[in-house]
Amino acid sequence: MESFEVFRHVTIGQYLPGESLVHRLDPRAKITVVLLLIAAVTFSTSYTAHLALLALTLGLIALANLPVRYIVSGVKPALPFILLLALMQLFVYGEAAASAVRGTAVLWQWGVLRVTAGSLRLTLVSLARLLELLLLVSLLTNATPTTSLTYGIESMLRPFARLGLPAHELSLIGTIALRFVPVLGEQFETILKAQASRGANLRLGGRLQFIRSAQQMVVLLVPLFLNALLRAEDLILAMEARCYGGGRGRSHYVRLRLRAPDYVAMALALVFTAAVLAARNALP
Amino acid sequence: MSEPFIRAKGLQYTYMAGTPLAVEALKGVDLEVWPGEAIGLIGPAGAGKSTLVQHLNGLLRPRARGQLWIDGQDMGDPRVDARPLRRRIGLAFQRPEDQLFKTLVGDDIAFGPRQLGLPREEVRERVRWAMEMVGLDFGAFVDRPVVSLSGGERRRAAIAGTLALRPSTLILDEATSGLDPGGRRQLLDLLRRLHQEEGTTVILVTTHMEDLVGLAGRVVVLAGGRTVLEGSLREVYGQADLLRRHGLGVPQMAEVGEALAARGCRLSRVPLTVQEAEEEIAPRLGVSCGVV
Repeated sequence: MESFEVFRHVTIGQYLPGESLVHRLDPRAKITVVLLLIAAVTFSTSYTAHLALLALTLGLIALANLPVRYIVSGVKPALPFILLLALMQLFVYGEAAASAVRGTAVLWQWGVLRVTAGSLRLTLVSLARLLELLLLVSLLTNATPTTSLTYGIESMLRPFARLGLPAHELSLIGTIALRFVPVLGEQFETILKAQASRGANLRLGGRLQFIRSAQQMVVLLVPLFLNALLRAEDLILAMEARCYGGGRGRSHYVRLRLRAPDYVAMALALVFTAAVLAARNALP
Repeated sequence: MSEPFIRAKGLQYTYMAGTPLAVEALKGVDLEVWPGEAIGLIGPAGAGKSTLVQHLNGLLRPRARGQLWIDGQDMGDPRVDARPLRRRIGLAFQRPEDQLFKTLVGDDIAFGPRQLGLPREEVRERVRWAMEMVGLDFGAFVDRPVVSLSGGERRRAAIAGTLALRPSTLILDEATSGLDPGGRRQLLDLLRRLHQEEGTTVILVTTHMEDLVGLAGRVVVLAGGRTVLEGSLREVYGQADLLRRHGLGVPQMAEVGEALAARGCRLSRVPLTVQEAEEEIAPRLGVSCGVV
C-alpha cells in the first residue's frame, strides 16, 4: 500500500510550538550553543566524548519537550544508504582509518575486507555524529520559529556587514531555504498523488531497485523543480508587493535581548565543548 | 436497488498520524454511492471534503478506524491494489496546478491514456475528445506550455486529463471555482451529459449550491470531518438554519422563498431555480407563468 505522506519524514525545519526553557531562549543563544556543540561533534573521535554528547543532546531535547521518536523518524528513509555506507567504511576503510584514527590493530580479516580498531572507531563515531547532528539541528529548528531564526542569524552576521557581507540577505536566503523544505515535501506529495490518480505505478520498485527508482524519480523531479521555480517567482512578487527593500533601515517587530539564561546556556556549552576538545586525545 | 459502489462507514483519517503535527481531518464519515448516481458533496472549508474524495479513488486509505468499501473491495486491506480502481474512478483535484505536472497541455492530458498502454493513435484521439469535451480547442492548445494557461484554462486542462481515462466514476473537487460564468455553465452541462447519456457516476464537491441544481439527485453535507446531513436537494436546502450554522448558505432562490415565508407568504416548495421561483411567485402576483 503506497503512502503519499512524504512530509512525514521531513522533521528538520518543522517548528513545534512550546513553552519550554529552550523555546524561550534567545535565538542567538540557541544558534551559538548548537554551533559550539556541532564543533564538539565534528572534532572529537573519542567514544566517551560521543557518549557524553549524545546524553547532553538527548537531555536538551527532553528539556525542550520535543518528541525524540519523531525527530529520529526523519532519518528512516535514508537508513538503508546510511547502513550501506557504514558497512563500506567498516570493511574497506581499514588501512586508511588505522593511520587516520587511533587503532592499527586488525580485528578481523577476510581477503581484501579488513576491520581495524581504527575503522571500527570511525564507523561508530560517524554514525554517532550523524545522529547527534540530526538531533542538534532538530533541536534548533523544532524549538525556534523560522522568523526568530532569521532575526538571530541576521543579528549575529551584522558586525560583518562593515566588511561588505550582506548579512540580512544571507539570513533571509537561509530562512527561506529552511522554510521551503516542508513546502517542497508537500509539493512532491501532490505530484505523486496527481500521477497516481491517473494510473501511474508509483511502487518505486523497492529499496534495492535503484535504477528503476532513479528513473521514476526523474519524472517526479522535473515538475517539482518547475513548481519550485514558479513558487520562487510568486514569492518575489509577494515580497515586492509588500514593499520589501532589503535590510537597510528595516525595523523589527521583535527586539532581541540576551538575558541571564541565554548567557548561562552559552557559557555551559562553551565549557563543555572546550572540555571535550581539550581531552579528545586523552579520552578512550 | 443494486449494491452501493462506494460505502464508507465511520471513516476516519488523520494526517501525519503519530507525530506532533497530526491533524484529524475525518472523524466519522458515512457515505453510500450507487452506480450511475450523481451526488453533491458540500461543506465549509476544512470539513474534510478533499480528504474524503482522495479516499474514494484510493489515494488515501483507511488506517485504523472506519471502513471503506469500493466496488466490493475493502480499502483498509493493504493487499488491495488501488491502481486499477484509480483508472476507473477519475479525480480532478481542487487546485488544477496540483494536477498539471507535464510541460505541454497535450502531454499532460495524454498521461493517463499512456499509462493504460493504449496505442498512439488512440491516445491522440482521447486527448482530442477530452479537450473538446471541456471546450479547449485541440489545435490551439495541444502544444501550449501549461504555464502559459490562464486559471480557467488550467482548470479545463486538468479536467480533460481526468476525462481522458474515460472513467466510469468522475469526482470533481471544487471544479467550478476559478471558472467564469460561461465556463461554469459549460462544465455543468458537460457533467449532466456524461451522467445522463453515458451513465457516468458523478461526485461533485462544491461550495456553490447552485452548481448542484439539475445535476445531483442527492446531497451529502460534511462539517468538522463528519456527515451532518444527507438527502435530496430540496430536503437539504430546506434545512437552511443548519446549513448556516455550519458556515454554508443556500441557493439565492431558496433564500427568496425563505424571505417570503418570513413575511407570511409560504410557498408550496423550496424554490431552487429562477424558473421554480417564478412558478411559485407569479400566480400570487396574478401573473401567468411564461407571459411577461
